[in-house]
Amino acid sequence: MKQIIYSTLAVAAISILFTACKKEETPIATITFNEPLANDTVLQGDSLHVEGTITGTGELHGYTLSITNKSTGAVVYTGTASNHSDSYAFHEHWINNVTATAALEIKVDVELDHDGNKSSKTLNCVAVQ
Amino acid sequence: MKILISTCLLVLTSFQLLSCDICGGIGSSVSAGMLLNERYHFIGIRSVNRMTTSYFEGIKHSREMVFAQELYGRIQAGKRIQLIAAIPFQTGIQKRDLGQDFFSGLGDPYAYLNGIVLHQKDSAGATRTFLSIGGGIKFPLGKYSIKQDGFQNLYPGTGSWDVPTSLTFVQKVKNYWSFQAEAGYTFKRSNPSGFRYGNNLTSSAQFTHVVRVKGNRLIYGLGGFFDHFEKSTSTTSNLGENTNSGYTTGVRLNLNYLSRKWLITSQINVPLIQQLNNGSVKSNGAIQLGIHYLITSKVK
Repeated sequence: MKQIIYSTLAVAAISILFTACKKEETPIATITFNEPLANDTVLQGDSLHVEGTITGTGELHGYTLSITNKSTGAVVYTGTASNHSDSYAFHEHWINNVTATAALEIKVDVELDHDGNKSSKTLNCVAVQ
Repeated sequence: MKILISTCLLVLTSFQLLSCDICGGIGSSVSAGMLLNERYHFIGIRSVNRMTTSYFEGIKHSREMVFAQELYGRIQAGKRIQLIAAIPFQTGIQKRDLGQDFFSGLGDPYAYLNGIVLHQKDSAGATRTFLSIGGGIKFPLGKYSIKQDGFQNLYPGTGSWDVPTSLTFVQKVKNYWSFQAEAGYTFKRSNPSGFRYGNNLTSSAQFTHVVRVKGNRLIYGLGGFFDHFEKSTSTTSNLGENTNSGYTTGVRLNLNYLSRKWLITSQINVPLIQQLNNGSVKSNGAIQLGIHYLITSKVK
């Protein structure tokens, strides 16, 4: 009888151990840009609207939105959200103040976990001087 | 004593005049309900704080807070005519994941005439039945957005000449109890950029009760409200089919304190059912606080 009890406890302990050690699956993030469309043009002084959504198959760990002037390499806008959520909606504005017409790269980096796994999406458009 | 109570019976209905991120700007609608008794002029300050949450494709996108303060006054111009005017100051804040935006400034002032059509009193001089009709003009003097974008509703003004109207009814139910109903409809016009907020209806009904507290009066009320907003239109932009339109309905709570010289008001709106801007905006309610100094009128 004791053997049955000990065996049952041992199996239960091993099960708990393995369950506890099982690593959560890294979620998959889907990044969608609603605005702008690829290769859209933004006139000098106008606002560039960057609008879209991020949806995950599980909990995501934040995201960063950046806009880079590809001609100069300068990051002209960056914003980071660190709150955990299954989904995000972003809608930010950047006013075109370039001194020479330049290609812009809009990039969204999503933190999938705290191990450094990320999901990214980029979109290019043009800022006109 | 009876006179003071008759005043109390008419004190609670006053919350419609506020900034509105659905219908846009200060003075979307006017309520004439504040202290309708003809015995007083008054001047006061009141603050209305409204909170909303916005959604983009069903995902929470931002939170908005609109704080509106008004310098607010009323002159009893005749036994049956009241002149009401207000100068608002508004701050609108939108908080998003990646940042926030802030819009502040003087709103659109308004002037308003309220005519007392019926005021029946009982043998002791207490109000039994009251009916008034009012109308006025909202002046486009506040800062408004020329761009027709997502921040437009956070600006303190709308840029348009609007015509608010109101209808107020009060019926004494029994001693210290009354029923109050109020409806307001605002006709809105286009602003210089071709944008026009839709007309809107505000309405409320509530029961109020007066309690004596050390020679002064505590007045509380419980009822409901229903607000409806018609869609916005534009001559220069292609707006969505239901932009800024919708309705909200819920519970309204009042607590007010009246002394011989001062009136302190508070009110909470709790939305229960709503459909605003195709579901992309959710009202989280509103809180109002006010303090008014009463000046005895010589009008008889």
